[in-house]
Amino acid sequence: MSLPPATGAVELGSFKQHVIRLLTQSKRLDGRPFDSIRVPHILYENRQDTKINRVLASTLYTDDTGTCVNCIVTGVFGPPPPQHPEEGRLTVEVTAPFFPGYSAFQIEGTLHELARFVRSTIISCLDLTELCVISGEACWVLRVELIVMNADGGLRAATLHAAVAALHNLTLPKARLPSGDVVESRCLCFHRIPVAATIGLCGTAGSMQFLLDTNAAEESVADVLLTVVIDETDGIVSFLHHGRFPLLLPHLTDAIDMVASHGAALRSAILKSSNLPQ
Amino acid sequence: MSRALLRRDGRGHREMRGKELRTSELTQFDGSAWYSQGLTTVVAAVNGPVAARQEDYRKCNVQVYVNRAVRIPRAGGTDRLCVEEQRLEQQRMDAEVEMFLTASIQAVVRLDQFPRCVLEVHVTILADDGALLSVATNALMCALLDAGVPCRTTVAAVTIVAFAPEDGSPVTAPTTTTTKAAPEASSLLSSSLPLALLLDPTRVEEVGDGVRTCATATFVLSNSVDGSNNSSGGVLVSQLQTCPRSSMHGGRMSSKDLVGMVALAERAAVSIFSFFRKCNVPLE
Repeated sequence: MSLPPATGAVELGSFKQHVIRLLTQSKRLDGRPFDSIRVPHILYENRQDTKINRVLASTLYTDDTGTCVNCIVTGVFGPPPPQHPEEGRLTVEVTAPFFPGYSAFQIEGTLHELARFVRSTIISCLDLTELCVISGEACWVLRVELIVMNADGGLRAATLHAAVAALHNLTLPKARLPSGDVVESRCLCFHRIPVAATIGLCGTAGSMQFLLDTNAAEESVADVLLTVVIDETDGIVSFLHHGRFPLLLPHLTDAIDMVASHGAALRSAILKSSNLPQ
Repeated sequence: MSRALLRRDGRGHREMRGKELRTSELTQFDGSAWYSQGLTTVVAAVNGPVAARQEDYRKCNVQVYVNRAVRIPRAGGTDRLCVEEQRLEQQRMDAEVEMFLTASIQAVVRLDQFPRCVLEVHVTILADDGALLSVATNALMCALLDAGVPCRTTVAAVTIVAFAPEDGSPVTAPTTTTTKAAPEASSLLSSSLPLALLLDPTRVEEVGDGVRTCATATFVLSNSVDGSNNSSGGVLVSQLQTCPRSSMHGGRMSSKDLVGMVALAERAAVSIFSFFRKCNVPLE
């Protein structure tokens, strides 16, 4: 779910107790209210200079507290998948090179699960038949490479937003197949745009407190963690939750409504910067 | 009319596949469980808690290893890239099962009673015919009970597929049946037709036809506190994923559909709990 928080020279157990003490006083580590999100910022690299290296898009996702995810999309021609010959192929790789290796096994499992989550969420919002060039013969093979440079909680939401920002309005360039056929330029479009947020739930003094857009320290002390992905019509695209005690149905619907209230702000922050290069 | 309610394997919409459970067969582990629902078969084995060196010494650490008895073989030629992608996708699905089971163990087992220890779980997927996460979680629960690991509660996992009902008069009957089974006047007023639900799907039903299948969800439900057979104690772990290629045809998943799925999962968990209790008969 999340990579371990960076506590510096402080012991992890003492750091957790400090965060718990702040939460009982209705405070968060970075001073945010309980129902506020960290607005993401998307930086686009100039696409003209990098087109010759097969790099179709390159985005840098950051927010106010230091989460940094780099997303690079490359495209080549290849054979279509055998079970769906009329579709293209999309692969997602997630790497985290700047994290310490003292729990490499767990980090690798987290990154594998993260790549599967990002890919399954994207292909449920994107029409892969647009990547088809010749049905059964040739298709675009898009490779989305996500490099987690710094993580401060909400890793699923951060990587998903970086990938969606890179793939939205992606221009597949005019190219030539090895057989000599010319493939025209095409624009990739989402038929629904997913936005995600992580919600933590703390059961302190018998009352439930929702923490919207948790950071890594809050994720290590929260009793329940939920990841909600919704689209423009507030329909559920993906929903994951686990915790130390069972949740009843009103808690699940309250979490979805909390993310839905910030969906428009998140979506505009992700897609606003995509108009700059054009 | 009754034929419209049957699935490919003859089950109704709300009927689970046949369950089979064997425990204590792997003698080199502290606890083991062989569990199958239909053709999906998972073996879970538990070792520990045993003393181990780790960073967070205040509670027990959990290590889950997921393996498959059958993996996609390697290939050459022009299909090599596609086959390698499928192998990588299968490994990532194993990582997804691993994270799901780790979250289930952390929710159920009282890890704080075993500082400086490690609980090792080895899960082998013998066959995958749908509902893999729920079968693996049920097998893991039986293995933990067989090993005598202290748990806060027992859990049961249920997988549900939501799909859009067909338009026309033959589907009026299942819609009426759905309304009678779960009477929700608010959902009938707000949406024209609620999503139909399939309990314990097979792999073919999970993949779906690409148009009507909306989402696949797995819920881990805890036992009720008072031990009654009427309800469960709430959702501990859940995972919902919409299917690709279906949202382009208007397949939307709303909060009310999620509420209906959780309600159906809670009723299905009661049958799994009673199945666990019937298997608890001691040998004479």
